[in-house]
Amino acid sequence: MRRSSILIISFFLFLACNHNTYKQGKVLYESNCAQCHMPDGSGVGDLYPALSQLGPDYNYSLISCYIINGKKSENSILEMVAIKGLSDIEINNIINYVRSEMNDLEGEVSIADTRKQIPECVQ
Amino acid sequence: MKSNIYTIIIVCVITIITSCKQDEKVGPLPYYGEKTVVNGDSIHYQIPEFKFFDQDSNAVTSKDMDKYIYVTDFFFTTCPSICPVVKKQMLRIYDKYKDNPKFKLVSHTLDPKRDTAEKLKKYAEKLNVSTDKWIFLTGDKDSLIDMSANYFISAYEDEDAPGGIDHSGLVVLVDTNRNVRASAQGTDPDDITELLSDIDRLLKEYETQ
Ligand code: HEC
Repeated sequence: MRRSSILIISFFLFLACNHNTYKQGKVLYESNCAQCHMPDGSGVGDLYPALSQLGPDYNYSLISCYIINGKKSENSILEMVAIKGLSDIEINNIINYVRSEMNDLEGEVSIADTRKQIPECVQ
Repeated sequence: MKSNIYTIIIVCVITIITSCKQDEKVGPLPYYGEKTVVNGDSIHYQIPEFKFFDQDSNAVTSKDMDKYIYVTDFFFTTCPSICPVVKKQMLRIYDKYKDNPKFKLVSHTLDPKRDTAEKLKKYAEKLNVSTDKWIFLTGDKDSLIDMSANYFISAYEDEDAPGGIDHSGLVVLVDTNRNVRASAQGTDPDDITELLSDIDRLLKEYETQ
């Protein structure tokens, strides 16, 4: 009896701890990114890349740099303009929303990683 | 015996109700704009004749379009606000009708200076669409802005708007006779779903002719 209640309690604790929804990341994504990358991250053709298809090998830390500097590849006709006014914590939450919710990956990019990355983005 | 009578009454009532309920979604689509009377005949509003240039710099006139029904919108490639979302919905329309020989999509740029034929061609490539089916038009800026109003889509230059041009995300369905027959907000997926059934209805009108 005692054992089973411990199991049940730890199961709920597990659920509670494992439920990273990155709520702020979602709100910021919707107001800053969704108009180009679509609310579900599916993008538009090859014009606006699908953020839901970045996959496990993608370097998510670099998203900080795309947000701060903008991004334009050689062969693309559109560019992503820099998005001003987001703090390092906000950027971190957006990155983890894209990483965890859209790409369904475990773990996260830590705020320490993002704080280390941002100064290196300066072009 | 009594229950038999009830059954008959219920059946009658149901028959009457269902036969009276007219489905608004069948029959011909309505016509947009005011009617005019010419020589005693009343004529539906038609968009004026036009001539623009496509992504291969070929002239495209309203005459070239009179074999097709088409859905049209106005945008520009660098538009950061509503255009990507509208294009995503236009892609839904493209995917559904890309094999229908009666149907085309026509996108007009509102920024002809930057959106040259060459740029529009690349844009179509990156959108992964065939320009046989989905035409991208450019031309004189004022003519393009005037044309948007003819389609009941409002566009005007505005320094405060993102990209310098303010325009609505309306997409409009035109028949082979330059009559405007339906429209939808390109930013609203549900509205586009309704437009898809309007397109089906318009296509049916040509089947029965
Ligand atoms: C005005 C439209 C626009 C907005 C807003 C926008 N992006 Fe982008 N984004 C683009 C375009 C266009 C590209 C492709 C740029 C290139 O590589 O040429 C891109 C590329 C990217 C990439 C690289 C994808 C890859 O395949 O490597 C990431 C990641 C990204 N954006 C994330 C974001 C995030 C996060 C936001 C919101 C904070 C955002 N974008 C807002 C247009 C936009």
